[in-house]
Amino acid sequence: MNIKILIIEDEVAIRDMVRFALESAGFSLMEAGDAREAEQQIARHIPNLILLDWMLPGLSGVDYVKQLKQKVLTRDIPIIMLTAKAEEDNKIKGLEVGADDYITKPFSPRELIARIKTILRRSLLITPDGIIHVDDLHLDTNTHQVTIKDRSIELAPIEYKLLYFLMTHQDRIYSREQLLDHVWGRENYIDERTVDVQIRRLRNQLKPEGYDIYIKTVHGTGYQFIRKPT
Amino acid sequence: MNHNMQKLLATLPDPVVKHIQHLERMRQDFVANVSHELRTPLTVIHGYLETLLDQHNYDTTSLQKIFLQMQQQTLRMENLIEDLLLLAHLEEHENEEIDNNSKKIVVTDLLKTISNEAKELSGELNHHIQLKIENNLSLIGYEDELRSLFSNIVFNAVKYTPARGNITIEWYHDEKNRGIFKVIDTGIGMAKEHIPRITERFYRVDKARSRDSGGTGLGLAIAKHVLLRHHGELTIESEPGAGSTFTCIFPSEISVVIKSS
Repeated sequence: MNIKILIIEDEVAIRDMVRFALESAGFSLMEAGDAREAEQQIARHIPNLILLDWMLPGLSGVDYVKQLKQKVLTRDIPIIMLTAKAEEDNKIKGLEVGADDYITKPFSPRELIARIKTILRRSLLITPDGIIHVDDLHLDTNTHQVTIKDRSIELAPIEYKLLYFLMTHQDRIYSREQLLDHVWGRENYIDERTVDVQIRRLRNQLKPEGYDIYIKTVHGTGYQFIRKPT
Repeated sequence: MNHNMQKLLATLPDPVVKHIQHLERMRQDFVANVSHELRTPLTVIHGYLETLLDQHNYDTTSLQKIFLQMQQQTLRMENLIEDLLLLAHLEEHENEEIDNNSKKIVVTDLLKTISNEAKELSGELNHHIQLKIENNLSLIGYEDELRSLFSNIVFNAVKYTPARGNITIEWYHDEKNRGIFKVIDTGIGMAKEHIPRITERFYRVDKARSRDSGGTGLGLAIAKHVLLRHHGELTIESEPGAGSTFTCIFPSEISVVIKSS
């Protein structure tokens, strides 16, 4: 596995620690201390994934994400933000401008590696025609149509977004709070129970062919989309 | 701020309310800043320990470097805590008269030591560090605090001056018999708007220049409070690209010319 991960972080000791952890897990590391150095690195090799510190000297994390998303060469590279807890608003902003996930410092390298693997798996999941397949469940990312076998399913926009998120983050458990951040985003004056309601509605839509069981409730923690339900 | 506090504030004059709100904001910022400064060292140490515990065959050469980094981060946290405690102590005793714990400090010796430390800190950057001091002039005050004050200002000059730049450390008395400590550097300087804020706790002119400077962010806040404790004042002049001058003025009451015997 020669997956290249670019870390953009100004604290050298954090870069070294992440290098140690990720190389132990079999990843190959590229390093940069700011956006300018990152551009030099990317010119040499396109990384498979970017870890981006929020508070950078010079061009900020948010602004750099926007820049990456504007260029054909880099717009499909998945990005995980490294944030500090004080920057609550920023993490939503980050997701809005196109970052794929975030992790708060101090973070567990184990957790970071798990998120990296999930995201990498997702970028391999979407077929060239833009459709995600899980057994007979098909989600078309272009038309936003969802079909099971031949039956086309009518989903409300938030149900689609929720299903899309779950299908692109398979096998990982997400809390209600995390689902609110990722799916509902900034409109976050919403009760966590709304998540439960939408999950129930979504399951109802998937029930006729028995696909409701792909969305699992993990008591005390949250929800999970499992690829091979028993 | 809770409901009772709000009700109380409604009964107070406007300037008092504004001041209390200012203090509240400062307190919140302070907590956020301290947490932030502790976060990086903890991220490094937590990360290494977790990964090492998951592994079972350690490569001994990598271990040495890892332990060194963890130790550096621990030191960083210790320095932060030291500075926080010093600052708390200084603020607590701010308005007192200089008491019996004070001594006559031979400033010459103190500055010579600090100058040597500065040369070490400078290392390969080879700053030209010059001492222009009046040997017979001493201060009545608290030695540890004065050491912090002088070294913070001198080490900042080293950190923010490019290689082979000039740093001049002066100590003399003026026409009013006040003790003057002055550090002049040919460093990167700072824009006018930063000068009034530079002694705030954790204030950084910008992140790029403070990166890896090894400081806690509290050095100038400590310097300011040490000066207040000695009833002195601090003035700062600076020009971006040209350099800075930090001047500490000590009252004549505590600036003593030793008569040579």
